[in-house]
Amino acid sequence: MAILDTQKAINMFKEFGIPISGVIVNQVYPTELLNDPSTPEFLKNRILMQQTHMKKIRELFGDMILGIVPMLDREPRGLEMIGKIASILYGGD
Amino acid sequence: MNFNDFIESKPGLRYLFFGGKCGVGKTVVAAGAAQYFAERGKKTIISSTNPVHSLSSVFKVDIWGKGVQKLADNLYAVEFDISKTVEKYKAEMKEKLLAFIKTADIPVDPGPFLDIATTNPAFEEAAMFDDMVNLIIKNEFDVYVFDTAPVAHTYRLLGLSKVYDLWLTRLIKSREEALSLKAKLSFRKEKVVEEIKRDPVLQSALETRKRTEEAKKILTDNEKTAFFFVTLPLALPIAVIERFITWVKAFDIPVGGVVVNGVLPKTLLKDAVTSSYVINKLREQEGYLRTINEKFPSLVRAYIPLYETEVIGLDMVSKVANALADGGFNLV
Repeated sequence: MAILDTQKAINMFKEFGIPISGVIVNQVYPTELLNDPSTPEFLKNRILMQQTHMKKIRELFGDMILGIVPMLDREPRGLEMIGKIASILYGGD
Repeated sequence: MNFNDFIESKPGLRYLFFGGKCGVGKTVVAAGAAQYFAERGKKTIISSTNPVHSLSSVFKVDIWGKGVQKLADNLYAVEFDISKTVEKYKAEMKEKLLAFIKTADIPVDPGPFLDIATTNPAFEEAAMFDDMVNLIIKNEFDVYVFDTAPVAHTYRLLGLSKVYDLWLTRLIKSREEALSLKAKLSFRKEKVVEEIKRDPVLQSALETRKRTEEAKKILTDNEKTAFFFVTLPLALPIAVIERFITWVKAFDIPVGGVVVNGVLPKTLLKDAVTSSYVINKLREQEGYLRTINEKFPSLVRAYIPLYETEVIGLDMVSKVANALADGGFNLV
């Protein structure tokens, strides 16, 4: 659903002539979890589902994708977690 | 009180609203609630006042701008194409403005006024509100489920009726004064009085006020209406609904309760899981569930589990309906 909304938004922006810099995909499960034997089936199935969505995202947005933020194991709050996301996105030191 | 008990305690309940932060699954929970009523033999309609129309994606049927569509037994859905209503508004407003300028003898080009009046952001909300009121007034269904727009939109939507009312009262008053002066000053009073009765500006203002009053009466009726707040067990959406509840209360709209969506079932732990990722997630969730119970004591109506697959299609919607009926208190 979020993919559809993004598509709609991009078209709307284009209509108004607002330049689009790119797309950032948030809450992507780390694929390593699939190889981890302790990951429950339930989560594995969600990850597999998400991978089909990711494929769609790559097809639709291609080189517009500027960054992928993983689903961290807790909600990113506080400077420390925000810093973690910053370094994932912008490759800090 | 869980969802089922709440619904059973209010046999007159007909109008259910679902609100919450973007991306918490309002549409999914609203769709589940609509299916819940449909399964219990109530002729139910789900309608979206969300400018980003999501019912089509959840039900996997394109219903956008197609009017009321039947999805299953007793289950109907409608996604309004706001742009049509907005166009209709613009035409009507132009007509009224021209009539007003004519009677007031103001030599002015109405173009710029029209542009200002019809390109303000509240215009779409007004159109949605109107579509919603129309649907209610037609009275063709037993139960109405409204999947509302994200908070900011809904807030403006709610605020609109108040502002609308003030503006209309003012408009009607000044119009009446102007017309009575006109009658006093004219020689052929009877003809003028007849004309005044047909005054298009006054007529439409009175008509609009009647409609907003009707809508307000319904929206604030504790027996017929309930506003539900959807959240995820996460800090940000909880903060959003906390604010939201105070707003809704300020508008005298009855609060139905809180539905927590996307709950990781704690049974995951029983499967002897040692995955630290899952353990961390569950531990975090536990904290937020506690916060929810502290902030909204006895308001949680149901916990909807996080499903293995996204909620798309009637089968999944039925699962959500069952989860609402069950309450899911054993998940946490």
